[in-house]
Amino acid sequence: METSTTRLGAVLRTAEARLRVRWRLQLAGLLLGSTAACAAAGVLLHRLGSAAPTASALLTLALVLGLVGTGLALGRQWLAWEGGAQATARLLDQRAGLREELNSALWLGRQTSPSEWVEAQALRAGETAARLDLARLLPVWPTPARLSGVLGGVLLAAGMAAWPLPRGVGPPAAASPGLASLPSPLARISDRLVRELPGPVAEQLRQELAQLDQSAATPVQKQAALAAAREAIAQEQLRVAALRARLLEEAGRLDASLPLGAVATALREGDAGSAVGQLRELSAGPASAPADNPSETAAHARSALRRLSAGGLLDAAGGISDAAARLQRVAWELDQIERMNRVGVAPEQGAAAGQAGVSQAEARVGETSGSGEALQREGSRSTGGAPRDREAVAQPRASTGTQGGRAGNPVGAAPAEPALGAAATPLEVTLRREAIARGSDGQDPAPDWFYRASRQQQSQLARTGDAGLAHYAQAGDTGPEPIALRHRRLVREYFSRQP
Amino acid sequence: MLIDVDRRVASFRENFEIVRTEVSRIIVGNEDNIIGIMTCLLARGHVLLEGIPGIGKTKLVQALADVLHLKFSRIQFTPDLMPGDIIGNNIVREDEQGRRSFEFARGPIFANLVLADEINRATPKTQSSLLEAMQENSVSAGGRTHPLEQPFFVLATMNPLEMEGTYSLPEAQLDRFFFKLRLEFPSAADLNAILDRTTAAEEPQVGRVLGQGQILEMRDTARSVPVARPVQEYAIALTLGTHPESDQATAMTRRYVRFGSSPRGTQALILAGKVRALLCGRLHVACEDIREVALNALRHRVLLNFDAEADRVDADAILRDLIARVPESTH
Repeated sequence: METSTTRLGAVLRTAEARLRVRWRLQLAGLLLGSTAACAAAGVLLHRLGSAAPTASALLTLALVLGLVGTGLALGRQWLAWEGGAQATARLLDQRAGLREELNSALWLGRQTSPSEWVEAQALRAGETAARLDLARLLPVWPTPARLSGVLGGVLLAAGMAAWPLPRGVGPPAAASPGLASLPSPLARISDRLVRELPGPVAEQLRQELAQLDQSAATPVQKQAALAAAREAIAQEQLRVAALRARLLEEAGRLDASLPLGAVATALREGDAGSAVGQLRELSAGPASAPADNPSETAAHARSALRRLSAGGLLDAAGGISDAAARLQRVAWELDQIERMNRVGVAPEQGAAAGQAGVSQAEARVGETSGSGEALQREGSRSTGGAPRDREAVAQPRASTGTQGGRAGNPVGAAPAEPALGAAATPLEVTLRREAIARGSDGQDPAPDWFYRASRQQQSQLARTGDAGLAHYAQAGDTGPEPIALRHRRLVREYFSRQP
Repeated sequence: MLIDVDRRVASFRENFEIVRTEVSRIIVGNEDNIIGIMTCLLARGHVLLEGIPGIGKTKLVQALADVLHLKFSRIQFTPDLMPGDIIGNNIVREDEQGRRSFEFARGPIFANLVLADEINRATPKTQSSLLEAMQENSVSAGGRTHPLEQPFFVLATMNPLEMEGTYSLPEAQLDRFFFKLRLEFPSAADLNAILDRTTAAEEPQVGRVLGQGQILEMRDTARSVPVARPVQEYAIALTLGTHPESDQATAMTRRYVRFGSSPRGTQALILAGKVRALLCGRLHVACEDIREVALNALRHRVLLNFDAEADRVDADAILRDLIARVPESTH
């Protein structure tokens, strides 16, 4: 009896030791797997950053669920692990199909008074236990299938963490020096634009686009750079429009002379290069001049050449139409850049909106001045809360008895204004308001809200446009009547609407 | 000492196999029922056989009586059968001096194997005359108690189809039976074999292969098998699961059972489990043994309610559901 019980106990102790090692290995594997999963999820979250809030939220949720599941699995394992010879005997009975032989022998040996039947049963159980293949019944290491599953999971997590994110998702650049050295799409577009534009405009555009391409640039700076680039393009368009207007004017003068009709036609088509070439041929000599009145034709040609030279058209001997088409292409490319820039700027607008809450407090000081400019700024502002109605706010408000005056009305509820006048709104605050401008109704913004020029930009463009028109009108005022500003504006708008 | 245990186990299995083989020479099929009847005999119980007429219930008992070297009697239960016809009567006897005295004339119950054929045709009064004999192994008559010779084994048959002129066995009477076995209709192959054996010129004959002493020794051997507490707890859980008010009752039990099994049911589970363990060559009872004998041991101890009859749910279905749901003890 003693021998059989000892033998059974030895087998059970060995089995229990194997079970303990296996349980610790499983525990360690579970913890390692959880740590690896957390690390992979952390890397992925870091890469996603705030650029993909939905994916980040889902990943965070999955991570939390995974951690909860891991905790439950650990708790289940901990609860399931009873330890002790009885549990080991029961497990061996189940795995070896012994029909409670070991468990019964163990229980009978402990609980009942020894009898020949109990002793015989214990002896049988001891012999059976000695024949058991514990390595097969209680393997310490996980099965190849389970091991391959765990390895596959780890590889999948590592692959997810190392896989390149979709374009436009995640924080831009600076992640790797190799990637940073490659030209960005914006830089490629910028180079192509600069090649198609004349020197001064190209240089200005290059600087603005370089500012736009900087990863450290704030949305406000990018917005300002885009506005400056657009303004440069508008100036160039105005210059080309003015040249075209002068060509049309010159063509009208040459229409009276029959030999110069072809030159007039070329001028109307904007082909200044060919017109200048023909005029030089006509003014050069009688050999190539028409036979009817060569000296008069040559005189007309020389006169036209002088006017064109005075108007700067000889420098722009190339086709004006081609220049206008190039400018339209440049404007379209700028739109594409702006669209690309919007994707990168959008997540940061949330932070800007938060900061705009502070600027709103600052702007409220200037708002009480009652000036139309301050009211107009407020009309294009959205501070993250309920947007205000642009029209409603943009209307100048009459001062009421409860609003208080400039010096502060103690009767009214409005706060008193500073004694030294309205506070100056910093330029950065103003640009930030422009950057987060939205629809006036407080709902979703208009589809083209980002491409539409802000009120400040419109006013700036109008002012610079008028100034430019006046400048070009004075410069080209060689005839008795200067080109009307209204006519120049019509021409500019015509070219601006070209697709 | 250990060698003696092994010898007894081997002898038990050998004798059992001999009886089974001999009975199988007459009875075609019904292997499980033969084992069930032998289990009841060796576990000191009684068996109730249920089956349609002509299926071989009486033949099975007669074959067993022929194989066992025991005193056999047959009682055909009829509505006019009186208890005295079973247990015996006191009769007046006059001696040589002319003095008269009562003398107990033993009835047919004083035998080792008693076949109570169509037991449900007798009145409850007559049926109850078997109660004391089956439980106490004794008969009280005329102010005296007469012990019954061991082994005492009652095999009752019952026809489930004919309800007219029958008296259902009361629950107390049913509980006295260790097993309730159901004899199914034989298959086509079995019918062929039955025809071959019973329509030939000579019917197969069996010899008496097991005596009274051997049977008693087998009974002692079966009782000696130890049972671990986890297995007992499993049997108890099964028994409690038949009670609708128990925490371990299943949904079917709560819906269809009116009364669950008595403690006799648990005893039957354990004792039958011991016999089965020995038949499997084991010295311990396993939960599997309990599961295997649960239907035979509990089906007549579970009283169904009206819903079960309306839904045509029998006790076997409820017990199968219970067996599938009750977990083994984890101690």
